[in-house]
Amino acid sequence: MAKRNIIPFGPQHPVLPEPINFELVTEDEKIVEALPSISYVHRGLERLVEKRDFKDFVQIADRICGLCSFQHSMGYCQAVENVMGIEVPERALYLRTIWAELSRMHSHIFWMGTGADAFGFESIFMQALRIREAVLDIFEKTTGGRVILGVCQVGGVRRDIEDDTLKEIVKRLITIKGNLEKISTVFYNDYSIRHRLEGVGYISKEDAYTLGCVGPMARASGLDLDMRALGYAAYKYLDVEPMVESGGDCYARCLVRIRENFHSIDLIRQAVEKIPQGPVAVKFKGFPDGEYFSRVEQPRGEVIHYVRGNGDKKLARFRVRVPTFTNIPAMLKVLVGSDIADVPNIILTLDPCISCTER
Amino acid sequence: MSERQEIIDIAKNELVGIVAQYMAEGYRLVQIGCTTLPDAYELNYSFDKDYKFKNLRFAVNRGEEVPSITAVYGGAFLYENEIHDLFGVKITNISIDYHGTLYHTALKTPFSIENIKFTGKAAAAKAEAVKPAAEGVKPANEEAATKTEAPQPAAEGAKPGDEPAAAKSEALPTAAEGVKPENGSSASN
Repeated sequence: MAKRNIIPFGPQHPVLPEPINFELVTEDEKIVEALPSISYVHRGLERLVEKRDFKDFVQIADRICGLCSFQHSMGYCQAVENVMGIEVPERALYLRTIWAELSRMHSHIFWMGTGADAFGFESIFMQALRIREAVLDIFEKTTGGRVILGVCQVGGVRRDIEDDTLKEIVKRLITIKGNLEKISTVFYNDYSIRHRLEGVGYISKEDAYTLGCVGPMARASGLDLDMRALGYAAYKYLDVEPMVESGGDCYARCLVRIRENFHSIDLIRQAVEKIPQGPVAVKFKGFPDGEYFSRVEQPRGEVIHYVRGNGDKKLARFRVRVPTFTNIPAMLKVLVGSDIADVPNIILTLDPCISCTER
Repeated sequence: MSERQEIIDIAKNELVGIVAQYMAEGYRLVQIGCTTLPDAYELNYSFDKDYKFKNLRFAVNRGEEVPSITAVYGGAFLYENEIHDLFGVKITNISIDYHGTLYHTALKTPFSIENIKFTGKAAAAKAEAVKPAAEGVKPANEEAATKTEAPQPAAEGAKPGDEPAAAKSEALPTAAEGVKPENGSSASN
């Protein structure tokens, strides 16, 4: 019988942008068991509803995570708006959609960089982060912030984007698209990348579904699951197409995210063409009295924001269920049977966001 | 845009059976959540199939045990450990049981009834809930076993005729009238 060793992966590891620990039980080079440990960055954010007015709490929701920031604030605002019956102006819905898709792009491009860095392709890492800067410049021009946008509010958004600026954004995205195509071609065709990723970290469609996978991880295994199909924000007016691959391995997960980048550019173009004139926020009175589960498609998958109010200015309960939390059991399934050398690639193609997970 | 969301109130002893039925029907487990009530914990199990969102809900008292659903949905172990560590709800037979070590917090069970600071009507409800049992307040689990509606703790602040949002097994209503945008203005709060 082969000797078993326990190798800790994390919480500090060169490929991990955030702390998470996996205790990997190995026999020779194969992983036979994996056990996750979290709670390195648990902040107890959900209890802050006791201290913050429900209108101010959107700023806490913004800060649950940096990469997924805007979708958190949008999901929270949607939940409160549904409880209170607030009808958000159409222009605000389109602006939320534009910022949400830009957030998706900046997250996926960041992932491309860190994923490439994990298997030693540092030049793609540099190029990806350079391309991402163009998206962050758009954020800074339109919201004042690069990562934490702080632009969503209950009832709409805080800032408008002028029509000239919207056209300029579409022009910049054409340049970004050209740059993305160059590095995406490397992902598609480079022999060493395909050798490291194809056939690695496979999860079947059935396992992905029963273990609760969401987001690119689920779509890479053939599951047509994308919360934008619910039609929240302005997605009901746009041609949203889930990017689905059937490979179920690390390479398929890469392809899904790369294709989503290009799809996001197209969605932003559609939104800019269709955005109506009008107000960007609506005034309202009263306090939330009721409950709602808001479901939003973050870059990593379905996020749930549950809000319950009792008619007070402070909410009775706020709960976030993030996509990484529900993808962890599938992550464990994928790790078992894999080689220890493939662990960084597997973890990174799953794109975990630990600050979201622990809140 | 309001999605139709169904909340079904069940008894605790029906949980595993209904969950197994959902698994057979092809539902995926979306999340398991817990809400601290003034004198109980409300557990909510969310499922989805083809974007149809369903929730199973019941309440448990302090110290009451809840059966795990990890035998049906293996991925539930993280949610159940989280609920145990943060709320102090005992869940039995979890497939991977961290025994209280999933979350390391300076304050044990930070979301428990003892630690949550209720405000407004909930604070009044908690104050009412801690009055002696001689006043006739039933434990929440007795109500869940006998009623098809969600058990609600006695709340002095509740107005007559109010229906709790969770008592209905139908789409969550939004307010009857939406607030319309003002004409020609970029309103800001």
